[in-house]
Amino acid sequence: MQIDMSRFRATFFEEAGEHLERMEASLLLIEDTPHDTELLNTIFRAAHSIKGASSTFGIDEVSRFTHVLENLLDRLREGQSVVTSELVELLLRSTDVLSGLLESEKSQGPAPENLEEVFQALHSYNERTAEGQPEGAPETAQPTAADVAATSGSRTIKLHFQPSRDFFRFGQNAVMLIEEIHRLGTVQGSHFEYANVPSFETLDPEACYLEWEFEIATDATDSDIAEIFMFLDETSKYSVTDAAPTADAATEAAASPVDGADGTAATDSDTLTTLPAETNAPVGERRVGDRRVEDRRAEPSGGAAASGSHGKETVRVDRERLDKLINQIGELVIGTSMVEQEWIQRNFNSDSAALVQLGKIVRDLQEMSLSLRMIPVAATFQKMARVVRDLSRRLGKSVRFETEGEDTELDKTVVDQIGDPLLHMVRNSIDHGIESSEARIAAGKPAEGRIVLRAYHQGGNFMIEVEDDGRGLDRSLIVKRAVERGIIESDQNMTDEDVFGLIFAAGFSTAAEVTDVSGRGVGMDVVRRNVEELQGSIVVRSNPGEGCKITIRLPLTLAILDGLLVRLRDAIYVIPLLCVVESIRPQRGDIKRMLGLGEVVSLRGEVVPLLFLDRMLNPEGCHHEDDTTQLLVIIEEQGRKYAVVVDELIGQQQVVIKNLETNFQKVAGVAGATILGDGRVALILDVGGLTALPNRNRVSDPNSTMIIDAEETDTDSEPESEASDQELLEAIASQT
Amino acid sequence: MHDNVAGGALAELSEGGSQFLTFALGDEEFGIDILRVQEIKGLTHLTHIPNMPVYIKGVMNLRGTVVPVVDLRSRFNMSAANYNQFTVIIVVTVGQKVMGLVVDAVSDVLNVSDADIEPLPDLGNGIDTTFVTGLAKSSERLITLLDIEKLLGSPNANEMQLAGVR
Repeated sequence: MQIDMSRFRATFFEEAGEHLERMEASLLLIEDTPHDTELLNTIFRAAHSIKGASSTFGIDEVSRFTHVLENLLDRLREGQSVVTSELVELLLRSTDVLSGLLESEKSQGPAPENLEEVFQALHSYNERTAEGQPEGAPETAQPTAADVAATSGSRTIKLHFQPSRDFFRFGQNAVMLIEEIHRLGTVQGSHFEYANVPSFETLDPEACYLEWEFEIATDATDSDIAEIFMFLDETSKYSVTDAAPTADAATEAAASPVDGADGTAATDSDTLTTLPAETNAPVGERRVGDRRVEDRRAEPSGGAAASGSHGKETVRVDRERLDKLINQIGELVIGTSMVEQEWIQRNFNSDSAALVQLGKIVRDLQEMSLSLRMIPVAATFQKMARVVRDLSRRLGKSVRFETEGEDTELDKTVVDQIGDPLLHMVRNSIDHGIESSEARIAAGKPAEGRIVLRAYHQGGNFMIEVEDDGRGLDRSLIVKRAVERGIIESDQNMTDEDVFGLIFAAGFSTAAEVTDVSGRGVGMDVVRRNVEELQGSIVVRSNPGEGCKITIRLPLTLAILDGLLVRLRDAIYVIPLLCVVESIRPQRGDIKRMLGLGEVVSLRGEVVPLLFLDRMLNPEGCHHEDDTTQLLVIIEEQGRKYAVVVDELIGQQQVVIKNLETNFQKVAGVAGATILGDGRVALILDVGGLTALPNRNRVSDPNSTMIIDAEETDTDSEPESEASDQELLEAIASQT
Repeated sequence: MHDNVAGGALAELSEGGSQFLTFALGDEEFGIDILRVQEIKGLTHLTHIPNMPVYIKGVMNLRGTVVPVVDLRSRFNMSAANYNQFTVIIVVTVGQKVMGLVVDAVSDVLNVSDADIEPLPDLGNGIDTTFVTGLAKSSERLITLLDIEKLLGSPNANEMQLAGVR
């Protein structure tokens, strides 16, 4: 049977990534609680699963590395060495190397540079502890059931192995398994059971009818044995019984059939398989040992380690399929509203109760479908914990990192994109915010700095905050630097919030010198741009000496947008509501032509340039000649106002965003498209891109000559025009 | 999923040949590989896309997906025709992308053996020949076979981009 390995490879990389994340999270926790055997087990299991899976896929480099890593972890688990800060450091670096290795395997890129170095470090650590043992006696570690089993010494077991009929069809290799069984210890006797082999006529040549039984003298724990059978298919069975001379007939009865690697064992790397509850013999007792530990951990009081693996049951779904489903439900919403409209037209504006009901269900369905894309931000927060740890060490600062609301859910696309901004903000807080311990004590603050990463929902928005209790932002220094760099001229009329917002300007840095951590003035600019790309906003609050709090507000999902629908000629456009300030109907004299600005409108003394959508988007099409019937939608982009000329305001509506790039390409001035209630496609304007379009300035636009002429005659006929021109000029002078 | 459209018919096909969907533009007949064709649909509302070459007629809603539509007449610099009730959109897949082609009318599905496909002689008739894979003879008809990838695929997408920037 041909198996498409590439499909499973993708899953392997995904799962290996999750194992690594779990490993890293547990490593960060274990530094504070070095005797937590549950955490150790979690780490070990993660490493073991990566090793097992990578050797299955023939990724030798990964399995070679994890093998050494696993040896070290095993030593820890058995109490032969103890967790030190230095060791955690080494292990964390190992996870980095591993993730680098996986990445290079995935993209066929080069292996991580420090691979050999870390590999050797692990290796030498293993050898060191092996010689100089016992570094920490087994007794110092809290003995777990597994340890008891491990130290119970040599014993004789009976191992019964019964492969399923489909054993070979699953691509399993009995010889390999038997070889591994031999490696457990000394095989004192083996028995080969072939009673089940049918007569030749009914024999299926591809089926497996055989069973084996081994009598082995071994030190192996039951979990060691379980590891051999870890990748067994679900219907194959094996059982272990003690064959010690003291317990003979009784243990025979206690033979507890263990299901072959069931779902959890294969994916979760749970080295132990599910057991029937009534296991009664000592052997069974030992085997459930680890499982009990697990159960304890799953209880709420069991500590923080239970991340994910014991939560709700989940189904892994291809993202593309999910998006298709969401798309189809979006279509259903449109279809339903088309039916509603048709009903209303045919039935003289009377509602149908059934249709109203249907509409409600469909909209609920859409809401539910959109929530499918939501995932908790915990994983992203986890990465920050690592950043804080590494960076605070490097800078010699003592920092306590706290997270709040890590279960808060957010659209996956957004979660993927907030990692970078968060990273910069956290780095900034540690580097610039938190003072050295001496300075903190001198300022009457606890020696240990504190950084809180917080996520919560507010209204229809997702809020994420980075708060530190460092020195806070220095308003006068920011103003000084901003003036030096020509970002502002003076801080007149600027609120604290405005001034603090300057730290997001490109090239801005208050750091006296450029270090490898920060000072280039790039980081916060990246934050601002990323957040803007996600349609969010940033607010900075700070009190000198007390710390700084940066709050980012993001929409819950990128799939839906609050938009203002406008009509211009026969086309309908969607303007993101976030940047709409107001809409006005200009009087005849309000629109003027200014040199270098094109047409402008005076809005309460402020000069606002006009954007002619049809002229910018359809330079070849014909244009409006009569300006007076038009409406202006005032939009704001990066603090500047523009007036978009439209014919009609249709209304405010939530629209589902469709990507133009999926089947086409990026279009300047257009953020995407959406499908209206009548099934037509409407373009969503990208306000930032629109204002940057070249033909905004009509002076360079030959098509507009006619309009200029028309307007000049217009202004001639109006006597008060000179005065208002004067006003406009003054307004411009005061602006620039 | 779109590859299944002609899957059954293909099985009956003798070796060394392929099936083409033929359509008309003016007096000329063209054919495209049927495996590229996802569906054929009537003319629907098109939303204009700004700053695009003239042959990009806009985008349409194909069951919730926004799909660009190319007018093949203007793509080949042929005189524009008024859209009428025979005007159809052939929905094709180009790589991972889905696109619509506006043509005058769809004729039929043609089985052509490799022997009946001839390379294109030097025509010099204003049709850009880089998109043409050959000429197929079928009784009295002569059909120009188009390479849809070359016509709408990535190199051409660059051209669109250039045209868009202008």
